[in-house]
Amino acid sequence: VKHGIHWRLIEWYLRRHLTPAQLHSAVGDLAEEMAVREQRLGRFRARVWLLVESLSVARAYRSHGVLERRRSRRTIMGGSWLDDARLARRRLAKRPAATAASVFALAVGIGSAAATWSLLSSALLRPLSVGTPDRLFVVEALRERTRGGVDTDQAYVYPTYRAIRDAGVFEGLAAGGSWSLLVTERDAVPQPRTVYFASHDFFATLGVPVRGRGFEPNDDRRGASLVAVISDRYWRRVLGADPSAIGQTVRVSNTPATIVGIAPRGFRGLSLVEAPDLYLPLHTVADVGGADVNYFAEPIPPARSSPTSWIQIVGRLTSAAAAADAAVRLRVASPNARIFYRLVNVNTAAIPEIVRAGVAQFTQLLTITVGLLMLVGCLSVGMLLLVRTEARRDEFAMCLALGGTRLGLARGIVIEGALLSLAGAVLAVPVASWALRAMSGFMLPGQIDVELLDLAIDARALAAIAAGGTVSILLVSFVAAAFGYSPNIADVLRSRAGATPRVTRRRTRAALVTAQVAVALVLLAGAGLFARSLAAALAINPGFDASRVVTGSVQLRQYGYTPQRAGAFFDQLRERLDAAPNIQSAAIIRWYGSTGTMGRVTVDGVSRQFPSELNAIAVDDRYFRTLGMRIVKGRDFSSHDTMTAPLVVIVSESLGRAIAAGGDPVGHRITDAFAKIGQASADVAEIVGVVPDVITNVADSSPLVKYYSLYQRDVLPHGTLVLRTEDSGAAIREAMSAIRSLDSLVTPPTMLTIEDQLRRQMSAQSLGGFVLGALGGIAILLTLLGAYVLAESTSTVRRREFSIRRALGATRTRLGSLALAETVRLVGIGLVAGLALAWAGAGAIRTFLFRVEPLDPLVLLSVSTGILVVTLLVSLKPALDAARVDVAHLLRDQ
Amino acid sequence: VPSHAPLGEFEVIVLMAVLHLHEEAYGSLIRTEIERRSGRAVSRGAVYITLERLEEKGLLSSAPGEASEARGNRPKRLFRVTPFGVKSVKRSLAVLTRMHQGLEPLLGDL
Repeated sequence: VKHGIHWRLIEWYLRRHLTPAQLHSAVGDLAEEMAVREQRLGRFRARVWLLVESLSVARAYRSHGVLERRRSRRTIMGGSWLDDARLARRRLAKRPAATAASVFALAVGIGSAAATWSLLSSALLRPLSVGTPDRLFVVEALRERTRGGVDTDQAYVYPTYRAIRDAGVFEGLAAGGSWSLLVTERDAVPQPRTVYFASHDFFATLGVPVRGRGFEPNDDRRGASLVAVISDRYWRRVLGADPSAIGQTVRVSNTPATIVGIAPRGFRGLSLVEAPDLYLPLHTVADVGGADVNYFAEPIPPARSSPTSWIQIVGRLTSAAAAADAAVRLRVASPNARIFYRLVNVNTAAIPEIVRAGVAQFTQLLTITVGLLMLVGCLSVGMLLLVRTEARRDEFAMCLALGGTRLGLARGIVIEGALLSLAGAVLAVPVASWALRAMSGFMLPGQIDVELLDLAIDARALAAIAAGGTVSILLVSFVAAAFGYSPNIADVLRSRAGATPRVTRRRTRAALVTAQVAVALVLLAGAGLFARSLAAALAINPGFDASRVVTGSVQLRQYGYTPQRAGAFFDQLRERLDAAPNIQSAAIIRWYGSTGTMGRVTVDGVSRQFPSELNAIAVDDRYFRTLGMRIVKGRDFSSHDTMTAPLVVIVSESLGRAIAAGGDPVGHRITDAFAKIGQASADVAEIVGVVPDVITNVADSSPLVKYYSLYQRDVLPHGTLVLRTEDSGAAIREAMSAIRSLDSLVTPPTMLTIEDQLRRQMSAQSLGGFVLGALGGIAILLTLLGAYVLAESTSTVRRREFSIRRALGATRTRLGSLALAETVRLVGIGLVAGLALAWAGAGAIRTFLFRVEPLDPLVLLSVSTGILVVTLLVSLKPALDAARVDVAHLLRDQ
Repeated sequence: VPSHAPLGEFEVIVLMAVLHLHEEAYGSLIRTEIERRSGRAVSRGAVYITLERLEEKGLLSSAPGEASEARGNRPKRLFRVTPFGVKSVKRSLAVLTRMHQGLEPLLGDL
């Protein structure tokens, strides 16, 4: 009976209020009587009696303060860990504001670190969720150039695929690639979706389990009845997680496809840049795309240029070690002696090669930022612990004098730190999930949409970061403990008598504030630089109203268009767009390019070196009118500039200045490097006009130095629509329906205003600005808290000194400025340290800035001034208090 | 530390109960004794706390007693009244007696 759970509960409850000796005798008494009562009253009523009696005992002991006396004895002598924890909790609860600030700082630090880790891990470390990724490789076919060097072999993939498959190097081999196609669910409006055409063994090769079923060889042939595997994301967001989704039909480019399977959550194909919504069997691409051939398995008509370059081959090696060996064995088996192979791990290949470095640098930048924030968080908590131990100095001295041990006192402080970090870690979970949600609105460099990464908090990472935070807090609190009780009782007694206390602790605290100021400066300066980059990108086009120009590029190659057919398509499209009510003017750009000769261009027959490459844009004769760009000098293109007329170009003001050395560029002649591609008879063009500098693409290496030529012949099967409108939404709808009415299979492009495009291109900068700004804001709050606490403690500590100064004739203004001078000095040191940090970190941020230098004086100056002003403002009240002392205070203290 | 503060009524009652029980006084029994003799219900917590306080004042001393099976092998805490305690009870009763003198017509003999 005495070992039943009710006894244990009662003992546990009583132990909170009774000493062990009291507990033993009381429980013994209860047990003795319980046995009698059980016989008399029955078990249940006896237990009720037991409960009532125990509560009465506990209440009596509690209300008589027996425990309180025991506690105060333990404060001095040091009790059990649990007692210490209870006392620490009470101490924390007594200063709710400071405790809340510490917990907040820690939660933000830990939470944002965990969120950053999730981003880092899903973008860089383990981007794809496939089975055993270390054995999965994308096979790139490379072709040796006759004059040395290599090109990616974009020729017809199928023979290569067969050769690789039959070489016996891979355990499994799959192929696939994505298209953008119009998909209709039930009776909804058709939407462009990413459709991945995958060979039947795609899911098996990647080791991805499909709910329902994957593809079977019989599905993967031309003319087969169409089946689709949908992504988990599509299933949730578009089909509303409908449990009966398998078996339903969607229309892909007007062809009905039956859903047979759902890919697992987190699986997003082989690329980070896109996340397929649907997977269709590879050989059905011709049926769905409406083209005349199957681009994968059937020979390509001679008029087509490399239409299978979108297909990627991915294979699973028998072991991870075989990668190098595999490339050699594939080369031996290659059908063409000049083609060889490179094996790239799927996780590496998931990020396009050109943006990989940018993404890595960007995540690195984020990591540094979050590290800095963690530092500020730890500094703040350390600061508050220091302040608290200092306030308890008298108490410590007394405890030591009464026989308490130093270890016992230190333990109390450390437990306090541990409690703070525990609370911080718990609160970090909602902070991290909020941070993930906030980040999902942005893009990483290389247009990697954070939302498509489906970020989730990694519990293990969160635990590890929280543990790291806890360890550093414990270290900080141990230092605080070491400073806190200089155990010289005589010292304490002397300070009671009015002597100024020693300054060691104030110095430590001052150093903490200085470090906080430095970190806040770095974070806010970074945010300022990103904000200025964004502003610079958006404010760069005074030549026209970027919010009223909509563009979008139409790719026709995949629908089997030849350049000639595409030309006719765009001519008709332009006519229809002209007739649309909300489109004021429509123009079409047929291609962009830049001179590949390092800025070497022939002007007036003389070869000249320009500081940057020249960009060339082939436009139609309505382009400038559509953009609303005025012609600064000379004339616009006209209907007289035909294919047989002399070649003419219009230059940007920047290029014009470079050509004419500040004079009038009109009339000069330059060699149009692209005229030959356009099959013009001559390539020397006369400059007939000058237009303002505009930027439509911030990724251009030299966005301002450019010239415009009139496109002469249809050389490529794509073009970019440029529309001027008062109502961009309506104009986009009209453009989409015009494209659909011309060819119902063509997927309308994503159309955006130029302003939105620039914003999109600057999304990584916006994300950087957002993150640094938010963290910087928190850092500055914590810094202000630190500055206030410091100023207040300074004014308390120096009260005696100030009263003497006052008595000796110092004015209040003088005293106030004396008190403020200390804040100014500390913040000044912090700012200098922060500037040094910013200088050291300039390289990390430079790549992401647009037309702003990492050490931009305006940003650094305004942030520094801002920090100085706000810290002075919060120190003002304590300084005024300090100035208000008088001799009466001094006398009272004595 | 012996305290010379005057005793409260309940303290006197508890001390006298302990005296009645001779060597056998422990929590439960003391409570039963009080209830039996006074005819009023007493809370267990109040008895314990009073014993605790009387011990702190030096009027009682306690020692662990036997630990039987029925008690879950928990030792009893046996209380004895110290000589100082006996003196305090006497003094309290003497005060009451002196206060009673002359009130017999009103209150009758006790």
